[in-house]
Amino acid sequence: MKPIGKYILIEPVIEEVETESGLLLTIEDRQEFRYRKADVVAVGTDVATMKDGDTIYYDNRQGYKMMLKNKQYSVIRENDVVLVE
Amino acid sequence: MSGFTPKKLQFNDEAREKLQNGINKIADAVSSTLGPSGQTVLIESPQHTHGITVTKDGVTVAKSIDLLDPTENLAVRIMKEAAERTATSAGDGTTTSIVLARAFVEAGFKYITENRTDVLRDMHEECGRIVASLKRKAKAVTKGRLKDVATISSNNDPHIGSIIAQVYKEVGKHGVVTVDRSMTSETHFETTKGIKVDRGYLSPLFINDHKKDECVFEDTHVLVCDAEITNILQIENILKPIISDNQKLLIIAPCSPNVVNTIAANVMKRDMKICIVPPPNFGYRQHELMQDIALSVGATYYSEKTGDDLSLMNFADLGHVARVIVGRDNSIIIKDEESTNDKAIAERVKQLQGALEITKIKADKEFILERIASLTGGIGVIYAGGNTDLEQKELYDRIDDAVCAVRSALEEGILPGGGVALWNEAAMKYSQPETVAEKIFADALRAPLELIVDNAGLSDVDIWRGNADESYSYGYNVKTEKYGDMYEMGVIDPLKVTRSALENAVSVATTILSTNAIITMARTYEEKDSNNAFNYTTTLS
Repeated sequence: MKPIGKYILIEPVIEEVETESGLLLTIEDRQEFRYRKADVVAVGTDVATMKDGDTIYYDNRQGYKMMLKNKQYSVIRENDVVLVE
Repeated sequence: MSGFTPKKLQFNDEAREKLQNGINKIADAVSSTLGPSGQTVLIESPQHTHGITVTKDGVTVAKSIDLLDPTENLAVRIMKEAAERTATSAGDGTTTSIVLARAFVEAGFKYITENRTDVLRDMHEECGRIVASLKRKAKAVTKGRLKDVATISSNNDPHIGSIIAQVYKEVGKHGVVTVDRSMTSETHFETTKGIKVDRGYLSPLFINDHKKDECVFEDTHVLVCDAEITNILQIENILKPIISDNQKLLIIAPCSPNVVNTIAANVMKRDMKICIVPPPNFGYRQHELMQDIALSVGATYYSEKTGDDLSLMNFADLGHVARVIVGRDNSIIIKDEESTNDKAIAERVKQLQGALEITKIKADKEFILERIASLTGGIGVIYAGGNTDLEQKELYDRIDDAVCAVRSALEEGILPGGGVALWNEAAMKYSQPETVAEKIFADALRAPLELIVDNAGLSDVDIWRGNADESYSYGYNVKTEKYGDMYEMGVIDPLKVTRSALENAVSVATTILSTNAIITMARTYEEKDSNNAFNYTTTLS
């Protein structure tokens, strides 16, 4: 299976976020940030700016969740991605 | 039947008699607690864990009374309100005010035959004269008398009396004294130099002393702010030095739930020493109290009202205190030994004293007094001990009463106690009563003393003979069964208590005496079974 066009299949990274002071942020606090970290699982046929396995930051409010082989992924479009590591 | 509520109407003597019945019932229940030989009252109450309250406290007894008969219950409600007014303003004297009210109503029924409104007006004037006369005779409380005042108000318990006197000696005249339950059976007290905030922790996760359910920090920084902290990153600047040096921080500010959660999560997971307390009170009072808190802990007060931006706050804006104890409902902040801003505090106290003289509203006056007290004085906490819950509750009520009485005594001075002040007023002023109002007062003012004597199982005659000497403070000590000067024997009452009891009693009595018609909701009571259970229904709708 492969995403087509500008679609990208990603897996959001769940990590503990700490501020500079060493304060641990809760999930609630993290959701207030618009852009979130994720690993690219598979890029669509027309996507040239990133490749499988890249770590990206994407717009938290875009895309939808889906289940694939008992695992949860998100599907976003290429223009929802703001940063590629 | 919607919109139609049948009423029951009663007029004139029938109505007034019913009211008097109600008054007699509540007065009978309450009056047995009056005086040093006062009896305890047992109350079945749904609020108490055991369903039983044992008390010698007039307010508790009065509050628990509700009568089945709606008209009688109206009288009870009027009495309760008056008693509560006395208790809230003077902290004591509930029983006296109920006893006096009954005596006034009784005497009123006896003497008033015509010109009802004139007599009632005369009664109000007479009341004013008595109060003025009492004020002239009141003595200021000296250090030595403080203990006697405390002892008599705690139903003649010398141990409690000396504890209260000691606390006031340590915290000063304007100090705050509170009562709390002791964890042991011992009754003891603690005093501190600091301020009390009437708010506790925002989340129980901040508790670090689980035995006492408190959050206790020594050597703590304090953030004072009235703008809501909605995002934890707003105070990142402040948290950085706190967290890196593993310091402690008390935040006094409104916080949104997610900020509280984040801090709580960090307290739990990262063992950070942070606690959040919301600001006390509301509106402009909150603003003023926060200013006081900031001043006494040496913090910069960040306020929405002055357009401060929280993210600009830095470490230097925090205050520092020696210790904070944050409980569920209140927090105690204990200041550093050498506080650097004593001058600024003295300046603020001066301003407040100026404001106190200008303001006329009673509530505002009290608020300013409270602020002065919290800025200047210390804090004393008396812990009431007891072997059983019941014993502890009874003691707690009694200490609470006594503390209020001592506060009143410090405010307005003291009078000979045990009903002697009022009795002597009656004996001196109304030896030959002329008007109806004077006759009523001559009878009613004697009631408290007669009742105290009666409760002690003595006959009135014994006392009256002893009072042949015309000295104002001369009387009979029921406790020691001796005649003498009431002040010297330590039988005293705060003027404020006697005054409010009298004023409220007269107000109730005149209300009841001027009542001519009573309208109550019509009710039907059906007797159910043979075991006297009542089926209670109103005929509403």
